[in-house]
Amino acid sequence: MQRFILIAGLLLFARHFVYAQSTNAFHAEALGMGGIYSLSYERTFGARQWMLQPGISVYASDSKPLIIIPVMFKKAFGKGPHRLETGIGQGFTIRPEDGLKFFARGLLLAGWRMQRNESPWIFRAFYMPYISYLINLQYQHWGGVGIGYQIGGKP
Amino acid sequence: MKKTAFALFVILSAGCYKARNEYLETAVTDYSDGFENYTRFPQPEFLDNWPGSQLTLSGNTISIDSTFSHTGSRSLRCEAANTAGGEVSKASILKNDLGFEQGDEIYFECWYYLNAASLPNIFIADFEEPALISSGPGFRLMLNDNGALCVERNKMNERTLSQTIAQPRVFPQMQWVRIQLEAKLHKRNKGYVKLWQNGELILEHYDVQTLPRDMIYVTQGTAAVLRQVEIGLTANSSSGAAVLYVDDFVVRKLR
Repeated sequence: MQRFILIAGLLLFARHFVYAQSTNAFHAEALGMGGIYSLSYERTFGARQWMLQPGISVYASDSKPLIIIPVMFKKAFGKGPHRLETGIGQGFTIRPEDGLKFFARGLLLAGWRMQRNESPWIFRAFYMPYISYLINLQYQHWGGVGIGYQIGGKP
Repeated sequence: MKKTAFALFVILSAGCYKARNEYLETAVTDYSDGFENYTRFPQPEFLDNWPGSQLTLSGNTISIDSTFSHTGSRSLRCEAANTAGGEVSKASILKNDLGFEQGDEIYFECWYYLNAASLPNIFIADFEEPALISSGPGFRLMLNDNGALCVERNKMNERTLSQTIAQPRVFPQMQWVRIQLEAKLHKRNKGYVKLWQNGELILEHYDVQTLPRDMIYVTQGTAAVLRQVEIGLTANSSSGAAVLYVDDFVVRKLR
């Protein structure tokens, strides 16, 4: 059941991804949506204020691998280089232990996004609380910093 | 798409909450065992009450001793070599059908008889919630560097709680020792822990975390329910071998 929901969720996100008219960027985050770190791809679409950002992070916990696939839906507010970035997403976890274990936590985002005119570099610092909702409602303060590089299109 | 995603979210959440509540309806909240009804380990009657055990090294043993006990005629005997290499040495049994919720106040009592070459880093009881993704976070009774009993919470990313009396008591060897613990369970800093050794209150901490909670992706799926108590040599990370007898175990909900 969990596996089905994970795949269905990813496909629903992918539907938006395919039809978007957009620019692309790659990001590296410290802490943030991957827990400790993440590498991600960002697609900007609509009036370049809506963004989809899937990523990946892999590390070991208790000497066992942990594969994390966070996906964020984001919207930026404001004009000029400094913008407010908000978002909502999911952090899907896959753990190869006694077969495969799956889990998911909710993610919220509010932060600063900076990209100067004609520069492909994107800088971010943000507050990103984690929300557990599947078994027990729990809220954890978290945050992160990130650097991105835009490919193609005007910033 | 929004409706589909919302429906999936509701169905999944409802299913998980239902499973948690169904578990709590049948979970044990009052259990005592003097190990008098068993003749050997493992036997079906023993496994009915203690479904799990850990023997991590080949020389470690768990047995029912019919020649030595605190009360009655039998006790549980655990023997574990010191930890060498990557595998932590353990010889312990688990009661993993318990159901103590956040806000519950619990009472634990057990009699121990320890014969160890070295006291530091011997663990004699674990209070855990086996979350979906983690290695059984919770708090544990540990002998610290001075051989004094303390409450270790490393798996919850919290500091160890030391004895609160002026002269911390070293854990006695080669005699029966009565250990009692009272705790209020909470995943935030709203719980408490009290610990007695041979009737003397040696540790008392308030406004502390006593239940694990989810921590980024490293610990996930905690339900704010203490489900498991493990007794025996739950870890022998000391520098020598140890033998521990256990008798007259009690765990129950106080309030």
